[in-house]
Amino acid sequence: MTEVHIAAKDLRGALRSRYFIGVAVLIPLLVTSLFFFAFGGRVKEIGKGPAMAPIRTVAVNADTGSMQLGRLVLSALSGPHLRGVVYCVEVIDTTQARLALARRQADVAVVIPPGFSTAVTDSAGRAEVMLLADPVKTIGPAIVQAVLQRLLDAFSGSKMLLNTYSSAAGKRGLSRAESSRIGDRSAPSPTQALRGPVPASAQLSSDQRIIAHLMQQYQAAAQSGVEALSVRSPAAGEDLSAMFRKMMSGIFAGLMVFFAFYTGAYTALSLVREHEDGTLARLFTMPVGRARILGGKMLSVVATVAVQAALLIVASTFLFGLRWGQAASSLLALAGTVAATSGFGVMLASFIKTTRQGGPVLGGGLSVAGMLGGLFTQAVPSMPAAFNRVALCLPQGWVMRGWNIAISGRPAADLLVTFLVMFAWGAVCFAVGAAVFRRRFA
Amino acid sequence: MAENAIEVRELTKAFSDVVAVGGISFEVRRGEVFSLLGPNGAGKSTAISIISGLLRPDSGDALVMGHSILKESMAARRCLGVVPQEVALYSDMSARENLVFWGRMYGLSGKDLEARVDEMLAAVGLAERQKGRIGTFSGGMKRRVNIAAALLHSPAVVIMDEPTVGIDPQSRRHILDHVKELNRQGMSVLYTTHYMEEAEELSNRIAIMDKGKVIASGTRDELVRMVGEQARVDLAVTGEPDKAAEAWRKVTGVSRATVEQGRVAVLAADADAVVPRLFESAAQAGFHISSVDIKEPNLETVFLSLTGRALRD
Ligand SMILES: Nc1ncnc2c1ncn2[C@@H]1O[C@H](COP(=O)(O)OP(=O)(O)OP(=O)(O)O)[C@@H](O)[C@H]1O
Ligand SMILES: [Mg+2]
Repeated sequence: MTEVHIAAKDLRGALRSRYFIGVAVLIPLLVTSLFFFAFGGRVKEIGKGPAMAPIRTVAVNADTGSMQLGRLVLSALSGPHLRGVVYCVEVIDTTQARLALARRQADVAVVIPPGFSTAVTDSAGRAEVMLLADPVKTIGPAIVQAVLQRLLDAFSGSKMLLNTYSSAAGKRGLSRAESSRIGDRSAPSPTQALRGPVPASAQLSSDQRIIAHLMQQYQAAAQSGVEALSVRSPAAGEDLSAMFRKMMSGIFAGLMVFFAFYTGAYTALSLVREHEDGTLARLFTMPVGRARILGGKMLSVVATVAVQAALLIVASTFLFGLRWGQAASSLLALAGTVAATSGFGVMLASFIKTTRQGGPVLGGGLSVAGMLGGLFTQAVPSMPAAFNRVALCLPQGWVMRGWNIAISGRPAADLLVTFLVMFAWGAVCFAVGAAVFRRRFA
Repeated sequence: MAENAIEVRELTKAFSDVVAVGGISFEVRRGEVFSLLGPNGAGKSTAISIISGLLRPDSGDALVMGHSILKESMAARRCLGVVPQEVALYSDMSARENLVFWGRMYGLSGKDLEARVDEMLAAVGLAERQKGRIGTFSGGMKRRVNIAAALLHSPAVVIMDEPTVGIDPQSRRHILDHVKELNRQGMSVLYTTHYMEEAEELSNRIAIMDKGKVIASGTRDELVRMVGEQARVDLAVTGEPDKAAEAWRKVTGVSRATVEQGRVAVLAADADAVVPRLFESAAQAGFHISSVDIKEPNLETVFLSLTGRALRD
């Protein structure tokens, strides 16, 4: 019971502290509401569902290949599953597309370059689609991009690489428009060392067989697009808001995970604070073993992080209608988060000698770890692979991965390995931190 | 039942090259107030930290109500309440919340706990401020809660480490009276201080500590007798104090006359007999005495004569 009393005392202290309510809970909620206002300024309408205007898209198909894969891509945009979400008009050339953007007649332009089909089928080629967007609009282009990416993803059968050429776009005269390229990573590229697997059928010489294969992939992509876009309701607007919410859930999860790590470390640091304040010494004069007192302090960390994460999830669900996936999956992600953040926090805090140095060290260290762990780049649909690899060297990356799996609606079974990794991170860090603390205080 | 509340046997503790406690022994009898009197850095807190189980001694042992702090530390701690030198409370919690928490740590719960907390709040005179956050309390109020927190489990022995340092006279009075009251109720008290007056007022027996050693111990009177009962007379004179001191050294009954900070300090076994003679001598030598201050022999004098230094700097 001693442990529980210590944890209860700390948890109550946390709930009353300005940090906890002001920083750990309010900031993620505030930032999220800012996002809601920024993306079209229609929190209420999105919350209610069908009110967002279709994304006005102009498309240029310069693909000359005999297989007409460019047309396939464009047909995806005007396909039935995007009806009411994307409104796609074909124009003759890139100039027309830019003009439409400049005149605000379109939100986004999709340009299929000449030789697209060839690039897709040629194992040495590099298939790219160019995306031009009105920089004021963010959510629309992001959706179109996501759809196209899924398609190209299916084509290459491997992960996609997105290169944003914002600065280059300016030099090329794409004034006020943001351009990005969605690339096919199965082809070698100068910036990319790793190569995705080339689908076996793409190496066959027969055009027919390649087309058949691609059609199959396309069907699959279209289907998964349907699944991704209409989660709950058949209404077109609802599709969009569901997708928007899913994206917001990712952004919010990033914030939540960042602050959970911060809270974990900050709460663990209370052991150092109690040491400085003399209350730890007083605890050590109580008829209770030191191991149990330290155990109680560790339990405080776990309890505080758990309450914070649970509060944030409940609040975001009610305030913003964010979706956290299947209950079992999100519970598993939550458990992993609590394990990883508490363990990491205890370890970090154990290296800190005084609470004075604690603030800057925790703030700096966790911000860097958060950045590398991909917590702040949830809004970027596809980060370079190297970045993702770095992220998975940190517990932050794994926790984020766990939430992304949960948010995508996948079952708990898909999350099991990630959960185990999160848990292992927590356990190892915790063991290190607890050992250091024991050496210091027990 | 153990005969002594606390028995300290040859305790030593060194911090790298500083010997904080260099082999001390003493015992606190049941039902008495025992003071450790010593200047800053004498090793009082270190000794207390060892007895309360915070520090492991390098050698030696201590028994609390017969329980070894090394072999039966939990039993020893259950009999013991420790009031640390620095206030050790949660400043973001109220006085009551603090006491409830510390009471739980001592294993109290339910109605017992609430009742004890009420009692202790009343005992330290803070029943009305119990909902106030410790962070908003004055130094004296904090110290009173600091004491209350150590008494929740009604320990047989309480150790107080300089509980009156740096507080207002009113809180200090309150604390001293509280200690006496606890003692009247049968609690044994180990009290450390560098205020001679406190040791004299409270204690049945006193140990004087300096540089990690107990240099003398006994009742106040025994200690004073140890150095001979010399009173100290402080005199201010018109004219040169050096000349006055020289003249007074020849006066019968004066054992020492020195000049300290412009005043003449005279040591004499019988101050009442000596003072009139000092006036006579002054009149003969042609100067006047402008003030006389007779100090009865006290622990300050004892410390001075044992160490050659003042108890307080
Ligand atoms: N943790 C420590 N590390 C190193 N030296 C210490 C430590 N604690 C105490 N000391 C040293 O041991 C000696 C005795 O210190 P202690 O605190 O026991 O004295 P004290 O009698 O309680 O003094 P005060 O009246 O100032 O509280 C001092 O020289 C002190 O500097
Ligand atoms: Mg001390």
